[in-house]
Amino acid sequence: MEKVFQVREFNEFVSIYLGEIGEVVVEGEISQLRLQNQRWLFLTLKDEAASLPVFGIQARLSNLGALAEGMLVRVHGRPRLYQKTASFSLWAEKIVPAGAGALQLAFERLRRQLESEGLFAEERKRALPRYPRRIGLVTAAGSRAYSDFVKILAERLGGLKIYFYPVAVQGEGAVESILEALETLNRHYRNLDLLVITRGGGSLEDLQAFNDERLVRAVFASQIPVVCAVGHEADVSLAELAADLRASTPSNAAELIAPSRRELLAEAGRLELSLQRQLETRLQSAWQQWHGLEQRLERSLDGQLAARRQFLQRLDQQLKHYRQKLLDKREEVGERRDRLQQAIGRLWQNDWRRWQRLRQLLLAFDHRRVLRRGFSLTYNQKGELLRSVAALAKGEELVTVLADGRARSQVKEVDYEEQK
Amino acid sequence: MKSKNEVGKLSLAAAFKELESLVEELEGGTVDLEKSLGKFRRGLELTKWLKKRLRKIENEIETIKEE
Repeated sequence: MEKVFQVREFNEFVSIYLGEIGEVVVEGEISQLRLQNQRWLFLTLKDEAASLPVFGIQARLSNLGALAEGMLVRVHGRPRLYQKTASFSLWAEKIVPAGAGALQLAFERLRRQLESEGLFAEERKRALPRYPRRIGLVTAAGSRAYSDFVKILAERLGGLKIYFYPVAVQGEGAVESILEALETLNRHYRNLDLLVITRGGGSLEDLQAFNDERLVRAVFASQIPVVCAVGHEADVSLAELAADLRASTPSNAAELIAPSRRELLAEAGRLELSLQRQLETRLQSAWQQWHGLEQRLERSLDGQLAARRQFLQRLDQQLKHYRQKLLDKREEVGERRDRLQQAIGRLWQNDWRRWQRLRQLLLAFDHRRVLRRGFSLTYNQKGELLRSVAALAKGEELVTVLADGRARSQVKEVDYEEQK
Repeated sequence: MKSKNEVGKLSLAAAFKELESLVEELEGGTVDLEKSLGKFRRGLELTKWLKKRLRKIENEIETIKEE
């Protein structure tokens, strides 16, 4: 009995049949490359005799940027049938450049494209903090890269905090694992001063993850500055070109991101010395200022003392002058006194003789002597010495002075004897 | 100086920056002795702390684990 298929049934049947083939690798030249809606990839693979439609999901393919029409590639994938229209295609899971130097060509092509987009531009590279404190480290756990980095960093500077995010750096899932690290660190560890993505040396194949377009773009897009160090001697990886700073090895990365404590100690010492010099200079200048004032003060005191001394000297001279004058005067006075004394002496001698004579004379006339001889003196009431009775009247009071006293009496009778 | 500027709380960067600007200012030569004494004291405090800080040899490592 002839089997009759419904269209849908037939397409399904062929699809199942094709699925039996499994994964294949088909080599050919790319023609009509089309990336649609950021999601789908369509290309036609051809050789001299035939062509084959290839379909892919962009998110599951890497290094799409490296692809170009005319490029010889090997497409890893499975044949599929789109059942609705029975369109046959190869579902690509991996597209890698084929032929001699193809990998290198693809690398160059991707590099040129990313460069033209500005991912490697020097002017967009950020300056790293001179003194980082919080450092994100993205590398393989237990790797030489890890221990080298940590060891050299500690030799450079202490007191830092390292946030270590272990990843696979090569092989299956390496790109995804590093992408996840970048995303997590950028989302939850934004206060990191920088990220170090590193691995040790390896073959070109080993280092492929660091040339992956998605990883390069993620490095470029990182909010936290990125230092990338992939140890190899060949070309620089694209991730390194997109990083803010490139280091040659994990150790070199540690050296570049942290200043050495030796340098910093020297710097601190230099600044300290400079401070001390400044202090000394100021003290010196203050001292000089003080010294200058002191000297001025001394000079001024000296000046004043000199003036005083001069004044005293003048005074002294004047005093001497007056003293001399006084001495001269005293001499003069002495001389005059002597002359005066002589004169007085002469006068005195003359007068003494005269005095003696006068005294004799006076003694002779002393009335008291007369009274002692029995005479007396009588005064009237007016105190007039009576020489005559002529003026006396009866009853008049008289005072009689004798040699040793006086007596009062009254006139009883007046006998006037006329002088003959 | 103010407590918020307490030397021990400064970062390496902040301490160096402050010290450098102090030295620059003093080298400018406009600050007189009396005013500069405070700055000298601060500067020496900073260098002392920097030297102490730079002698630290340990770095702390925290491993980030994804759930």
